[in-house]
Amino acid sequence: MKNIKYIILTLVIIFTSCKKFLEETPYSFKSPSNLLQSEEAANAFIIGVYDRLSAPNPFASSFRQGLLIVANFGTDDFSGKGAANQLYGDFMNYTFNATNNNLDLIWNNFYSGINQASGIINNIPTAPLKDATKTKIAAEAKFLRALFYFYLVRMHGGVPLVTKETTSLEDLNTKRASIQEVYQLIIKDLTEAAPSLPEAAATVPGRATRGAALALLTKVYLTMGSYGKYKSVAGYEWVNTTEAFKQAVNEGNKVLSISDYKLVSDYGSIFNPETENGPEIIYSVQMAGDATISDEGSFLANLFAPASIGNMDVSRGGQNHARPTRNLINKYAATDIIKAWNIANFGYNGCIEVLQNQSYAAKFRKPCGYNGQHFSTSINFPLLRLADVMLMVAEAEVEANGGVSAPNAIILVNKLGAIRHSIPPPSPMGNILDFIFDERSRELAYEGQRWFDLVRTGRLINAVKSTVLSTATTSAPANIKPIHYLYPIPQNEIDNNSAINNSDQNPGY
Amino acid sequence: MSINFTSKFKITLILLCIGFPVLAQKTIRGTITSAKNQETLIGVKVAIKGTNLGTITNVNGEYNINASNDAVLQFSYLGFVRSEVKLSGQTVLDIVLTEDAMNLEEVVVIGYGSVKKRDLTGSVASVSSEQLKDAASVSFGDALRGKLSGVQVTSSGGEPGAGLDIRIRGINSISASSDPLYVVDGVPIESNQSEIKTGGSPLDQPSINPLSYIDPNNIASIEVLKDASAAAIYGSRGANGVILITTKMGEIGKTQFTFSSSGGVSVFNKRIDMLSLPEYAQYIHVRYPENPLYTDQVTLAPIPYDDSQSINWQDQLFNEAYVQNYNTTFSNNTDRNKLFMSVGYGNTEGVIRGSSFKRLSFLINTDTKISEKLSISLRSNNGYSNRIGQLYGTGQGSSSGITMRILASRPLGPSVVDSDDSDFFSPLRFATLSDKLNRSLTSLTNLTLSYKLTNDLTFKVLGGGYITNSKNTTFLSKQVSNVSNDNGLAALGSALTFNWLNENTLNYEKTFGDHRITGLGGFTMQQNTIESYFLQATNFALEINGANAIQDALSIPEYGSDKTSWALMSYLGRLNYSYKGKYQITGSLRADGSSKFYDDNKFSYFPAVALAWHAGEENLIKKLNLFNQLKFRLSYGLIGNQSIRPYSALSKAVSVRYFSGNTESKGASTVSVANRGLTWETSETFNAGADLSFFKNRINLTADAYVKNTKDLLLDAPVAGSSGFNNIFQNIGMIRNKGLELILGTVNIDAKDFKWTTNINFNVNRNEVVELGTQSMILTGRLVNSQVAPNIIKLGSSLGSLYGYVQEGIYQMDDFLPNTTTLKSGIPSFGAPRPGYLKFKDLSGAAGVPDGIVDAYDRTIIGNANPKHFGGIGNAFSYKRVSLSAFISWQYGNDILNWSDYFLSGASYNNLKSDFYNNMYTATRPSNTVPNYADITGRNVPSSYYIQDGSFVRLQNLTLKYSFPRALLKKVKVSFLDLSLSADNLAVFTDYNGYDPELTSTDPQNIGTDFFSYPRPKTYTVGLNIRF
Repeated sequence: MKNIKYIILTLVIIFTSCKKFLEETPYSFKSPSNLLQSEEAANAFIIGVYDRLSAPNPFASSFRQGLLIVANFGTDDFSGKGAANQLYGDFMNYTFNATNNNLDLIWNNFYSGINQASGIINNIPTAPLKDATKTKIAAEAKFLRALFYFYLVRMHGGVPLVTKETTSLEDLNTKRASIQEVYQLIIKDLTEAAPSLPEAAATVPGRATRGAALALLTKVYLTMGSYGKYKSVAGYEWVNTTEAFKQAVNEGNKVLSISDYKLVSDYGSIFNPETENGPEIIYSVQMAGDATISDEGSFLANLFAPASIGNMDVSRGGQNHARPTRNLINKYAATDIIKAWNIANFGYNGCIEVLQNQSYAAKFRKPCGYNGQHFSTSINFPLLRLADVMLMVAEAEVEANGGVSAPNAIILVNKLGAIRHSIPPPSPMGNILDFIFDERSRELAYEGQRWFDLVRTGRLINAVKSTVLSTATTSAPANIKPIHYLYPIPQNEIDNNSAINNSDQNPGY
Repeated sequence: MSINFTSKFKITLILLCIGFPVLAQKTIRGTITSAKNQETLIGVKVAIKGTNLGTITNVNGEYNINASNDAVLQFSYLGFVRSEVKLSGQTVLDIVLTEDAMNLEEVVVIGYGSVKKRDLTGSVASVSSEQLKDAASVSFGDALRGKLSGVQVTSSGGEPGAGLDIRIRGINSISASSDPLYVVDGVPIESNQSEIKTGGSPLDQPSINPLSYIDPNNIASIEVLKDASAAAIYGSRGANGVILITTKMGEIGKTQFTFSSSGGVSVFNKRIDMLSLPEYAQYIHVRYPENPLYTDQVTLAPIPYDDSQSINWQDQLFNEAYVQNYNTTFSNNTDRNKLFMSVGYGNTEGVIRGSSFKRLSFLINTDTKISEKLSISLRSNNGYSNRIGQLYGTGQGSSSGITMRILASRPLGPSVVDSDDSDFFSPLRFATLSDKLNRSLTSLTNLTLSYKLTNDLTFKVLGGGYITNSKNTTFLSKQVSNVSNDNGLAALGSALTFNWLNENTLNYEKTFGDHRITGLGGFTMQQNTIESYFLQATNFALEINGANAIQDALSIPEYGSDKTSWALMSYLGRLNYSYKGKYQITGSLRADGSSKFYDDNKFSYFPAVALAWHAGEENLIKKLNLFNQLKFRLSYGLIGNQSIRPYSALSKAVSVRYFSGNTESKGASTVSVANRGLTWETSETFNAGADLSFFKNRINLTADAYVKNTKDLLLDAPVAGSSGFNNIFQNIGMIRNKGLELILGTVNIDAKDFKWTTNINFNVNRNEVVELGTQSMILTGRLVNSQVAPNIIKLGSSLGSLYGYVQEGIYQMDDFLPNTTTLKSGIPSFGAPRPGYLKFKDLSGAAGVPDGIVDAYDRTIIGNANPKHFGGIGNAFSYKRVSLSAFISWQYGNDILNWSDYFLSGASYNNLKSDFYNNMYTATRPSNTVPNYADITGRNVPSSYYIQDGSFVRLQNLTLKYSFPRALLKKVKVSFLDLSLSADNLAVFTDYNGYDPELTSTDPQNIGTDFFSYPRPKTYTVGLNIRF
């Protein structure tokens, strides 16, 4: 029995080391609390927020695919027959409801970005980093958080306003805020971010700049003003419309004064993967999709571009899920040079363009000799362009002046027209607002602007009902209703958020 | 002490007296053999009744004993019926012992020890090596199908070496694993299959059986611990049941060589009737008139084809596959040293071209008695397996698996000039130009030192563990369609698992008069570390060497590595008290500490208690002379489950990348929020059972009823997306499994030369989601090409419910206003219907009442993937040296969502099932049950249209065996030789219209759907078993 004491001794030694034995060591992942502890880690953390714009997985949640659909389909410019599914058909035909998977994915993806951005914004002041780093990264996080909320508020109205990062199960449920509260945060974030962000020339493509923050702010004010004026969605009664339009002009003019931005004469070069980060881009979602990268690229060429002809090799062509409508085609003059880039009546057979009696959305075409994935390309998705800002300033000025005199607007429109068109705009322009609107269609076709433009100005229903398709059929004109000025709050959010219930859903869903 | 001493002294004196012959004594000798195989039996106890005199048989089964002329000799041997013979003058007495069907003295392995079968207080099912041997199975799991009560063996595919899911008493968990804990020779092995997967999409590896390295030939017995009394000693890992695998040791006192081999052929004859080329061409001519291959673009007439140009891909791809297995063992056992070695090799080809499973195994087991007190034993079980599979072959959930290609590919024979480049899509070409290999080396070794501290107390230290190194290699040629744009693709992945274990136990065993106490106390530690990496190369400039030379690829777009680790530290104890062998009580307690949980939840306690009453030993019942055994058992206890991935309670950020221009930046993205309160999943288990034997053990019945409430489910529960997260691991909900298990064994005929026995097991399990936190339901699972989840976890329903729309006929012309596509009022719409489309029931709407629109609100439970009952029937007949056994298994009342049908009923250019084409809706033949192919994009949602009854009866195995006469063999110095003929999976009786109703997806969150599973073949084998 004397051996017992050795056994006991052994066990005692083992027990004392037990605490350490049962500790978890993270080997292959990072703990978020460590991510602001070094310059390198902080940079990785903000990159993680940018990544939400082109989130690889699921691609339907980001500008890789899902947002291209939401922001482009179901307008009078661009539509198609669409497969009867939640990804395409529901948006082309206005048959989506609260259980639409695509809306759910986008919602979750944006809120993931918001959560991470808030984590940066709230914790970076006490982080052991250089002041310059703190200021810059916090400003980038604010720009991105504002961008996410701006999409959410336009798509869904007042959404849960989460400004504190989720750290425990206690923080999970937040009720819907008012539209006004969401805009207040967006404006605050952008206003605070702009001065701390670098100039365009001093930054790498795809990172936030001062110009981007100001251009986004311009869009925010213009959108607020339009909703306030046209009342397409309830909840904008607090907006001082004239003031908002004036603010849009102010902020827009700041952008126009930045010398980094210039109009380029070759319209196609803006969308060519070789030259796409040129001086006309203020902010675009960066895509990578050459032969070596399959999960960081954009689906837009595949969704929109002309088809390949003859064989199954679709390496250059797209699947043209949607096509430009007669409405859009008719907005261009026959000799309009941007028409030739945006609307094609050919398909591809390798590098050869083969005439077809179809019109395709050719803006995001793969160049000849494109060496990459057929479904996922490196073509960026522009969110803010100089031409867009010019047209916004023009529109805001007209609106701010009550639609009467707008001398700068005329100058801006003419300036853009001069570089884009073979024919100058008519003089006088007639209804200048309508002209600016059409000009936005022509200039920004398929760039995810039209649906938001129609919604904020209350034109959506009439426009969709007037859709004349070039070939395919859609049931959008029959299905569209006033409820469609807002998308529903995803049913999953209602089901899983104890602070939101079915009665908080947007009307009609 | 003094009393003891005197009584011992007296006995000795008495013995001495008897020792001096008063009566006439002579020497009796003889040989004892087994009735079953005429083998001699070594170590049989031969005793003279009424005395303490006796001997045992020697190596040749012979004995020698001095006895009086009228003495009664008793022959007893473990596992055989005791025999008594009254001497009547003979000097040679050969005895044939028959095996005891209800062998209560048999020792059954339980957790951290073993007990006599008689003394079991818990619910334990057991299979011997004999029962495993009959089937030509690659893995022991396959051989278990239908044989054990309460154990359901399922798999998602019939590919050789494919993964198996074993469910003991139902599904107990949603997000944590429902796999049982495997314990091989004392070493717990977690079979979390995801851990040996490497690499990500698009080359997900199908599941591989983690225990496939074990050669079934080396298994001595498998025990399944089912209730709390049996399994709670494994604490936090026992909730899904425990499977104990014990490998072989040789028999005492013999040096033996054995050699067994079997060889055979597998065939798959079932064919699904698809359209031939003339029919297919006619169909495509109507559907896609613009295709010049089927329609003359000038005259618009169909292009004529004849049958000779058609090809049936099923005939091309399903081929005869050969199976071969060899196993050699050597054993040399003395009283002090035991040694058992085994080397095995097996090669099982798959019935689809280019798939196979090879295994090389090596086992060495030794037991050495160093002194009376100290002994050492070694168990070393090693296996190398090489699995060559068809890419996506077994996958339930990939869109381009080989089985799908076989059925869906166009029936264009090689003679057809094909502008569609059908060669590109040829399944034959796909099968030959893609490779998927998994190679895996596992070594499981442990050393046990056992020291007798006193006569009653033994201290044991076990040190050991296992190492698995597995490597996956995938290659797709640039000539294979779905990756043509990758220009050749190779994926390599490797995972190294290192798991070590230390166990220190004290065993106590003491009998005082009518009281018997056995006790166990122990402390164990186990740690598991997995390191893996993968990389994927595309764009091969030169693909001659495939995945073996990825330096020939121009890019390596995907790569990564991972390391995870968990640790478990436990204290365990068990006490068993028995009074007069009639009343037994067992109590056990395990305290488990896990690295996966935090703070106060680090440790958890799992107690269990069981009572057993041997009613048959009570005089009152004994007098009835009816029962050979009558025993009642009752148990209650808590068992845990902690099989979630490590780090689940922590907040995590993973690497992502973002491109600025063409410059890649690495980012970090938060993917989970901490839940330090995460705790163990606990199953509260009640079990009541009875063991009955009648009519001289001719009828044996075991019945068990149980209720298992699994609480604090480790659920990866969805949370509000606005929190920034989709799911968080939380302890939410409760599942209840309750059921009944019956095992009936009968000896129907036991004549001199003819014997017939039957074994039946019958199982009923009902599963219900009892609590789900704040949720009322969670949708789970996925279907290829559909965005609508097919499974639902819903309060009050079974886990395994299928969810979707209810079909209510087909839209007819009459449902529409004349000459329009507008529905008449009152007819519910689904999408944009046309005549011939599936019509679904309008059950509800946004306001909770039918609203004329069929949408998400109209989905309901449309099926249950759990069977109402299942089981097996085995019959064994033997006549002299010939024996025949037949085993039938069944499953009744489970539903299958046959998603394969979706792809064979109009998806793009896919071929159609003849059954669909001949019955589908057309304007002139308006079916109200089968839709038109034009409906295909609208009906890619789960609905009752795809639900089928998955009930089946399977003739699983038929074996005919002949044992050569001993006398004949003796001349050639062979001690034993038998030959057998065996047929596996001979016939399946089912209404299910897919290949096999048993092969459906098995993940609890995505259960009951069939998507082109790799079918199971019929296998005919010839086997030889020889022993020297």
